Amino acid sequence: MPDMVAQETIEGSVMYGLLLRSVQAYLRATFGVAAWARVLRATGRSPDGFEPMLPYDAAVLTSIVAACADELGRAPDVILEDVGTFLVANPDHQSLRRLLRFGGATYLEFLLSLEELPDRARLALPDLELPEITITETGPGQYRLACGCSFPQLFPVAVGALRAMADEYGALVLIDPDLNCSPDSGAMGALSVQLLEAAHGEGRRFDLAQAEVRDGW
Amino acid sequence: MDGDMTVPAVRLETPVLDRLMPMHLVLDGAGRVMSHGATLGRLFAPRRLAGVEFAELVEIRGISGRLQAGDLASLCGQKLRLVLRRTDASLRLRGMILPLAGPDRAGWIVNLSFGIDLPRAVAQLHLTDADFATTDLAMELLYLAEANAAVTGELRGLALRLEGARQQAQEEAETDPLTGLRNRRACDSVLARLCREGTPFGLMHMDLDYFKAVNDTLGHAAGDHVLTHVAAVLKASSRAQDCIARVGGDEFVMLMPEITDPSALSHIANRVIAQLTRPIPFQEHVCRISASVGYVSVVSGEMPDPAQIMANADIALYAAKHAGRGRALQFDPEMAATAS
Repeated sequence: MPDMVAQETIEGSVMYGLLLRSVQAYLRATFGVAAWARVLRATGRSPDGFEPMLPYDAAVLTSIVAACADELGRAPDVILEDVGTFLVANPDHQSLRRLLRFGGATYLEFLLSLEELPDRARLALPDLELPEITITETGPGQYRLACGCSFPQLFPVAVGALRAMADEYGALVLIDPDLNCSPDSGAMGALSVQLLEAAHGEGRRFDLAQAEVRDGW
Repeated sequence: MDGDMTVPAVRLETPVLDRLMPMHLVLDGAGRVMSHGATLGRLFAPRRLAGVEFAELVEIRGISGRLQAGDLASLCGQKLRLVLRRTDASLRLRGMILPLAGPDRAGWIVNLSFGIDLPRAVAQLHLTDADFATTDLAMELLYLAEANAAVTGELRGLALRLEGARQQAQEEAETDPLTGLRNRRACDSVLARLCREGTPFGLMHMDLDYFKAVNDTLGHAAGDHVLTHVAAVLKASSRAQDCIARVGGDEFVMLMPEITDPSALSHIANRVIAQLTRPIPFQEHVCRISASVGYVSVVSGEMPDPAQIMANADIALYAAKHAGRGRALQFDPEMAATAS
């Protein structure tokens, strides 16, 4: 059983529980249970890992991601971006992909629906505080996604997820950090999203009715 | 205020109506379908609906008998509950019927929607985003149902993992780590429960004889080996529902629900003693022990005090020790008199 009961439950955030569980699922599935066990050992955590529905402190995620970076020899942001891609693209984890697909029938509709995401999330999980997201059209097919990010680690995860969602819709999209983002705009970060072709490839099938499969983390 | 404002009758082309209300039907004065929205068409596909009577397509709840064209006027403006007439899908719908405008066009417009049957309808009819009006909250409802299922699934997983951890913690707290038998805490709680429930049971209190000698001459490893052997003998002589506990260094308690016959208890105790009296090999040595047992039988109808029962078993045990060890004695009130 995760060692969650005593330390983290008072001050932490459920968002960190979800992120920690996502990192755990990604590492276990991609690099094996042994690699994940080494990360837990290196950070002095219990071998049971993390619970997605329990709150944890930001410092826990920081130390876990740093240990993953050591284990895999990759930058922390690169790992978090891969986690975002994994959450959407991995066939064993359908729930996030499906919930995001409800945003719209096209990538553009999906992109615009992200402004509603914090409120949608709150409907299902009132404890979950997602950062406010603003989408601005900056030119033809050109959008800026600004994130009032209270969870800095969420940002690279979002980049990975947005790229995977483009594949999901079969859209050709370029996503980069927006360097024009002024630091006084209140946004912790912004992305430039360039929609080159809405229907570039096949995309994945999305059936509104949920298949009878339960997700396992 | 708006009394003198003349609002012109709204005229809509059929494709416009279809975009706004993909589940509408336009009926003629006799209640036959003249046109309909695309999603409504999908409900009955591949059947063509033009000219079909409305009453053939749906059943209206609360109306006895078959719907007649003449009934339509009386249903106007009411909140209708309907059931789709399809052999493979008994979907419930909600809707409203209202008259068309203009004296020249006798007829009705009906608008329908899936109420709570939306998820079923989507699954059975393979509906997509495009089948719903933009203003329809269908997608939000589906999203919410799915998001809630995902959250509930995670919480259920958490509850199961917590329960597993709780059981494990409880088991660990009630288990003697050396022998795997229950410990004194577990024994006390089982005894208290049997007494509380008024279940008849037999209790044996066993103390090893000559165990200290094994420990002193052959060391603690030999002692541990003997205790593990004793545990195996006790387990082999008991049933799954019995509670076998190591309650002290070389003291054991067996609680056996429903076994109250003194001769049965004596038989079990003597068989255990006989087995324990056989030499126990340890490395190149042989350990020799025996055991003394005091037992108590608690028949139903008594409301016994757990502490008193343990004390009685203790008295019988010491009587057995005094009588020369290697034997089992049943508690007898006279023993208590002798002991005090």
